[in-house]
Amino acid sequence: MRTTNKIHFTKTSLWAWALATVLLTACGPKKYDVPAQSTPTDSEAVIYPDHTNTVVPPNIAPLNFMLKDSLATAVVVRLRGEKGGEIVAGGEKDLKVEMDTTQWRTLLADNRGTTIQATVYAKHKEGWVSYNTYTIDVAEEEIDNYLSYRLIEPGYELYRQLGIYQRNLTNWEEKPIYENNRTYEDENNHCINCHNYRNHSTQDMLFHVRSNHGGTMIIRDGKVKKVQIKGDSILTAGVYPSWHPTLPLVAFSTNKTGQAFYMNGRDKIEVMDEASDLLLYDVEQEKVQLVLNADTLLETFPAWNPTGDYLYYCVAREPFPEQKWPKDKQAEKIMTYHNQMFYDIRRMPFDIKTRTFGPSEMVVDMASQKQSASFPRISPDGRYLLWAQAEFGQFHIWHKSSDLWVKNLETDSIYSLTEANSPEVESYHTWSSNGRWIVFSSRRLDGNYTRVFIAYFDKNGRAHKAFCLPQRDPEQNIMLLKSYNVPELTKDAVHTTPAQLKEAIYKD
Amino acid sequence: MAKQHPKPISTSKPKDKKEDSSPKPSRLWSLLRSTPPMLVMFVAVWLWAAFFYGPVLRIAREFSFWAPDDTVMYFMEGRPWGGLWVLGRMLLMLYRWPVVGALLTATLVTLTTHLLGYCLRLKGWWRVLQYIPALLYMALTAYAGFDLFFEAETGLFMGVPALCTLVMAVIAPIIRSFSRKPFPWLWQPEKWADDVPVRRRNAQTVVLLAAALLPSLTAITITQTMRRDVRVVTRMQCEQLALEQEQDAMQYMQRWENMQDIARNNTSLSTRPIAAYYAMATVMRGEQGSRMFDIRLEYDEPWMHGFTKGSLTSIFSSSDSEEPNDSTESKGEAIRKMASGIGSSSNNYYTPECDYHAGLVQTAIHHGMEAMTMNGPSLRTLKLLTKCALLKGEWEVARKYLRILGKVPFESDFVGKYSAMVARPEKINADPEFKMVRLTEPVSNMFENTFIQPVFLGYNAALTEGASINALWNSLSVLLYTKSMPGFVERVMSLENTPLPATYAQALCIYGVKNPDVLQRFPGMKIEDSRFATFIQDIKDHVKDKNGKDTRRENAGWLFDKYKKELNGWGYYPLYYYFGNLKATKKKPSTNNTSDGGVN
Repeated sequence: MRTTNKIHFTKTSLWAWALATVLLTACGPKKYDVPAQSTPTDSEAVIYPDHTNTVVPPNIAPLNFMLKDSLATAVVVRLRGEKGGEIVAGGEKDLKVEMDTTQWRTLLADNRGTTIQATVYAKHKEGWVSYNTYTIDVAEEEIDNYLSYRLIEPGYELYRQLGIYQRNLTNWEEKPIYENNRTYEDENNHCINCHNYRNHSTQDMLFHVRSNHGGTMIIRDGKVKKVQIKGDSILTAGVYPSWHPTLPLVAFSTNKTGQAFYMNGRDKIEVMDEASDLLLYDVEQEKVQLVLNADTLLETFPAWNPTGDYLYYCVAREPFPEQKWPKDKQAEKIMTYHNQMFYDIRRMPFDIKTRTFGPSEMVVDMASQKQSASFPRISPDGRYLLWAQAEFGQFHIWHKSSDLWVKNLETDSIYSLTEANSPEVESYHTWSSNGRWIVFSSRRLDGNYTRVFIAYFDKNGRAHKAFCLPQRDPEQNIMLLKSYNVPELTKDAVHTTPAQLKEAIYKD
Repeated sequence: MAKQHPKPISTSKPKDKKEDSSPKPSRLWSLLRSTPPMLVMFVAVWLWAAFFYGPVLRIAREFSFWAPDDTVMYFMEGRPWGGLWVLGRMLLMLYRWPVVGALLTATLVTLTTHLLGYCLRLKGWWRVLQYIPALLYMALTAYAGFDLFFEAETGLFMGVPALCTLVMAVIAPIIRSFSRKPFPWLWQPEKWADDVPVRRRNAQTVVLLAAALLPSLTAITITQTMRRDVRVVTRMQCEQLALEQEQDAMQYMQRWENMQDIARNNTSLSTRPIAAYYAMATVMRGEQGSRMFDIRLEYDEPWMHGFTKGSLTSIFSSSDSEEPNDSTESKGEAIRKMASGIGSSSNNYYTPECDYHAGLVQTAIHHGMEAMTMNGPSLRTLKLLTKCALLKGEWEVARKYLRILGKVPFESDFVGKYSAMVARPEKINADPEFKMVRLTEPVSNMFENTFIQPVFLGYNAALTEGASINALWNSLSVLLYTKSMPGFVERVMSLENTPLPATYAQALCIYGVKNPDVLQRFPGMKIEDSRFATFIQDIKDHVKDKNGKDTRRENAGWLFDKYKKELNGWGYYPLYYYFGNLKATKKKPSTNNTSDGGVN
C-alpha cells in the first residue's frame, strides 16, 4: 500500500513537472532566428523610437523598438558586436522587438567602446526582406543609473493626478518618488514641481508643492522638511532652484508667471513672467535673501557652476521700459510684447567665504541677436555652458524653435548641438555626473508629448544623435498621455519613501 | 433522518373548492400567470436601456474610456474600487450599440434580482422585495442624469450590477449547498401550491409583474419629470456621432438638421448644452444668419454634479444669479477656481466641441486637453483631439491618438476613416465636416484671451478678418447673441448690397426702431412687416408689470410659445432680443474687450 502510494506520487510528480515544463516553455520568450533567406531592400529600417546610428551608454537598458512597415507581419533583428556577441530578437504582434535584458547587457559589456551592427528583417508576403544595417556605438562612459522626472499632461492650466518618478536606466524599474492625490479632493489637491538634486546625489534634494499643502520640500540626509520660501519683498515663492555644490544654499528664482493660449500657428502656449527676481535660501538657517530684483529686469533660471563660485542666470529687459503701464496692467504689457522678450545669460561671481556676490557679467548675449536663452546648465567639468535657445521668451518647452546650444567657456565658441537637436522642441536639459551624457525633453516623437532623450557629448564638445529613453514596451511612448518633465540624473536612488513625503506634505 | 419532501406544487389546474366555484380563468389571466416575472423584467430593462435610455448610455460610453493597455489605463490605478470601475468601463464599451449593451445590463440586473430572491428565500408577497436593488439602481441612474458620465466615474453604471451579480453568483451556490431548495430557472413561470386561491394567485401575479416593471417605469418617470434635457442633449449628440460615419452628403446634412429638429421640438427646455449643440448644427449647416435664434435661449439650470441653481456650479453658468453672466468673471479665473476645487462647469460639457465647430481648432485642443487632464482620457476627447491634429497637420500626434483609439473595442470605424486622412491633406480638405470647420478658422494668430467667448460660437467679435463669409456670419451672430447692436450694425454694413439673412434683417429692424437712419443704408429694407409692428406693440405690456418691476424673465417662456407659430418662418430674434438670455442685456461686452470672459 505504502509502495503503491509512493509510485502514484512519483507519477503525479512527473506529470506535474512535465506540465510545468510545457507551461514554462510556452510562456517563455519566443526564440527567433535570422531568416535563412532574405532580399535586401536597400532602404533604412523605420523603427520607433529611432535609435539608429546613435551612441549609447554601456549600462543602458535594451533599446526595444517597433518596426514601421505596413507590409510586414513579423520582424527580426540581429545585433552583432564588433568584439563578438550576438542577439537575435523579434516579434510579430505590432512588430515589436523586446530584447532579453541579460543578453543585451552582455553584448554591451563585451563591446564597450566599439560598435554594434544591427540588421532588421521584415517578413513580407513574398518572403523576408532585410533593411540596411545600422550601427549602435557603445560608449566607454556610463550614464548615471537613475533618472527622475515628472509625468504630467502636456501644458495648459489645469493639473490633476501627477507625480515625480524615478527610473533605473539599467533596467525597466520605475518607482514613484511622490504622487499627489489620486482622486479629486478639494482640500488635498496639489501640484508638485521643480525637483532638484545637489551634485547628482539624492542625499540633498528638493521639490515644490503648490496649492493645498503648499511649500518647498527639502530632503537632507533622509530628513524631510517643508519650508515656505517667502518674504515681504519676494514676488511669489521660490521657483526654479539650483543647489550650491558645497554650501547649504539654494539659489531660487521667484516668478510672477502667467500663460496665454495661441489661437493659431505652430506654438500652442506662451508662458510669460510678468516679473522675476533671484533669491538665495540658506537651508540650515532657513533664511531667504534677495539677490537680484531690478525693476525693469526679469532675472530667472539660476544655475551654479560646479565649483560654486559663479551663479549663472537668465535675464531679460522689460520691453519698452519707457512706456509706463499701470502696475495692474503689467501682465497685459508683457503679453502684448511677449515676442520682444529676449533673455541673455549672465553670471555673478560668488565669494564662498563671505557668501557675497560680485558684479554681473554677460556670458551669452542673446538680445542683440533677437534670440532668447533659458535654463543655463554648466557641465560638471565647468567647460561647457548648455542652454535652450528659441526666438523669444523663456519657457522654451512650448517653443517649437527651441534647440540646445552650448558655449565652450574656455574658447568662447558658441554652437548649436545640431546632431542632438530636432525640428521640434528641446528643453529641460541636464548633464550626467561625468559630463559625457546630456539628457533632455523633446517633443520630437509627435510634436506634443515630451519624451526623454539621451545624447552622447564627446570630449570635443560635440553632441551625437539622441535616442529615446528605452521602454520595455516601445509602444509605451505612444500609449502614455503624459509628458516627461524636468529629467534629472542622479547616481543613486531616492531613499525617502512616498509615504514619508506624503506625511511631511500633509502636515500643514 | 428521513428526507422531508417539499410541499407538492403543481402548474396544473388546482382542484380547490374555491376555484371550482369561481369562473373559468380568462386567457389574459392564464397568460399573465404563465409569464415569468424575470422575463418581464429582462425585457423591460432591455427596452429601457436599448431605446429609451439608449442615447444616454451611448454618450456615456463616449465620455468613458477603456483599453486593454496598462499604460493608458494607469489613471485608474490606485483609485478606490478602481478594478471594479475598470470592469464597468470595459462592459460599457458594449454600448457602442445600445441594443447590445442593453442585453448585458438587462441580464445583470435580472440575474441579480433573481438570485437575490433565491438567496433571501423570499416567498409569496415578500417576493416584491427582491426588486428593490434593481429599482434603486435604475432610479438612481435616471436621477443622476448627466452625472452618470459627465466628470464622473463612468464605470459605475456597469460596474455596480456586475459586482452585484458576482456577489449573488457566489452566495447562491453556497446557499444551495446548505439548502434543499432547488435552484429555480430564470424563465420559470410562477409555481403555485394547490391550496393557493385563484384570487390570490391573480393578485400576486399582478403585483409581481408590476414589481418587475417598476424599475424601468420608475427610471422613465424620473427622466421624463426631472431630467428631461438629458435625453434631448444625448439624442442630439448621437446624431452627431452618426454623421461621422455618414458617407452620403445629403444624409450628412440631414443628420445636422435632425439635431436642429430635436432642439426645436423641445423648446420647452432651454439649457446651455441644448443651445450649444443646436448652435453647432446651425453653424455646420451655414444657417447662423437665419436659424440661430429658433430655440429658446434663457437657460434653465441643468442638473450637473449633483447641484442645481445657486450651487457652486452656478459660478459658471447659473442663469439665476444676481450677477450678469457676461464677463463677470474671466474664464481663466473660473478655471483656476475649478482647478482649486471650487466647482465645475456645465460649460465643460460642450466647450471643446463648440470651439472646434466654430473653427477654433487650437482652442478646442486646449479645452480637450484640460478635459483629459481633469477626468482622464475619454473617447470623445481623444476623437476630438484626433480631428484637431488632422486639421493642424500634426500627423504624428494624430497617429498616436488613433493608435490608442484602435485599442478600444469597436472603434474600428472611426480609426479606419481618420487613419486614411493622416498625411493626406487632400482627403482632409474633401471631408464635409473639416471643410466647414476650415471656413471659420482664425486667419491671424493671437491669444485666446483676446477673444470674447459665448462659447457655443467662440468667435472673436473684435476680429476684422475672417477666412470666409461664414466667419463673418459667426461674428455677427455672436454680436446678436450678446445684443451688441452697434457692433453688429457696424459689421453688417459690409453686407450692404447683399440680401440679408432673416435674423440680421430683424436685428436691423429692431435697431431701426430708434435709429431709422440705419435702414437707409439698406434701401431694400423697411419695417414693413406688419407682424413686426404688431409684435413690438404686443410685447410692451409684458416687459414690466404695473409696479414697474421687470417681468421679462417670467414672461419669456409663454411668450415664446405664443409667438412660436406666429413668427414661424419669420424668425425669433425679436423675442430673443427682448426676452431671451437677459443677462447678456445687462452688460454688453465691448468689441475691444481684452478680458477672457464670455457671456456664457
